[in-house]
Amino acid sequence: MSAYKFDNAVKGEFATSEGLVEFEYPAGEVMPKGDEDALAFCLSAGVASIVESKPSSKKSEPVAVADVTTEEN
Amino acid sequence: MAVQSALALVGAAKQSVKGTAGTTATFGHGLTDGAIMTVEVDQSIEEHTSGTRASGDVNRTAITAGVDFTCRAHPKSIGLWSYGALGGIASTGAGPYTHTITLGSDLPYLTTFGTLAGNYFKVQDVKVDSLAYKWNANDPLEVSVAGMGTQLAILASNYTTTNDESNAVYFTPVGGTFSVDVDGASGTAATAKINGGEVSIANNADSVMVSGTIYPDDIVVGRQEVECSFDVTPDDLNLWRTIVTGTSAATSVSSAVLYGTFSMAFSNGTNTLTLAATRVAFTCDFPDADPAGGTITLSLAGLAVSNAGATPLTVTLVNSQASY
Repeated sequence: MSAYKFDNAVKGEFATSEGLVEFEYPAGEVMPKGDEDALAFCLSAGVASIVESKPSSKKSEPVAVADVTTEEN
Repeated sequence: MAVQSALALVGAAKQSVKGTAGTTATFGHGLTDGAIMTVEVDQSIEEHTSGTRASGDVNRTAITAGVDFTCRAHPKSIGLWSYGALGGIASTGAGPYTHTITLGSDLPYLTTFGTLAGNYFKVQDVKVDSLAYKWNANDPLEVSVAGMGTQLAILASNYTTTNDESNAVYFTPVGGTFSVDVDGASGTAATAKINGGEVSIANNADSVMVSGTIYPDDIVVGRQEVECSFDVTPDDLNLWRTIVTGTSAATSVSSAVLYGTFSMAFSNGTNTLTLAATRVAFTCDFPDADPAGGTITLSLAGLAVSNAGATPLTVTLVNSQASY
């Protein structure tokens, strides 16, 4: 599943026929949670980009050393 | 005592919902032309026969209020007007703030305010029908705003303006950067000797009249159309040649539409206002000869359209306003 990456914290809104849609995202990666329209707006506005989400690091799953190193860095 | 026309201010506030007018103007400023508000009264002669050859009645069917004025691009209020014309805004930063204003599927409702020599008015549920940024050489940027609303209110007293920008601080081309690329081949717009230009947004707004009410029930917008025109002093005819033939070296006309880009950045101290588009279909008339001599001017005319679903025009505003 793709995540949305925000280089900077973003706050804003856009108008729809149902009214104003407000959004606020911190810097970093954001997974869609029913707010696809807001994320799509951020994407089209150029304030977000799509990145491939990283797999969750559950203990039962093997975690590549390189990935751990990357996350620590 | 005459009414002094120089004592005129407009203001605006964003409404959270339709039907609830703002009570204070978030931004306010003066005009360079136009009126603080428009009130169009639709009435026409009654069309029926009678015992005389003249009609005895007139029917009033609608009163539509709005705004239609020209002003400078002030650092804060231009953000609201631009958001009102495009429909979406995303703000970042902790001061200065960067506001990226782009296409929304609809437009926000504004309450517009106006004062003329001690008379105070406001119009609610205004949607910006058209907005144009226009400049010539290094003359200050001029902004034309036209909008339509629903109800007009004549106020008993003056309204409060939170951010008063009537103190003549505005964007100018001086210190700005002006770039255009007619074919997008370079990926970015190249700096050009631009003498002036215009970028306009049309929202094709219309009022919705319902039986029983003399003012509009709502304002709806249609397709958004973004047009631009730039006067360029070229070093050669390559801009024209590229538009007509497809490349700066081709020798025959091309049937394909070329899409280019532009970026026009204006300055006001640490504030900047940038108008940019990444999918612009340009045309250009071949320049006139002149017996009196002098350099030619190429007049580029462009239609900015959506780029893979993205906004046709991006307005990027850097200022000290945290949010809109």
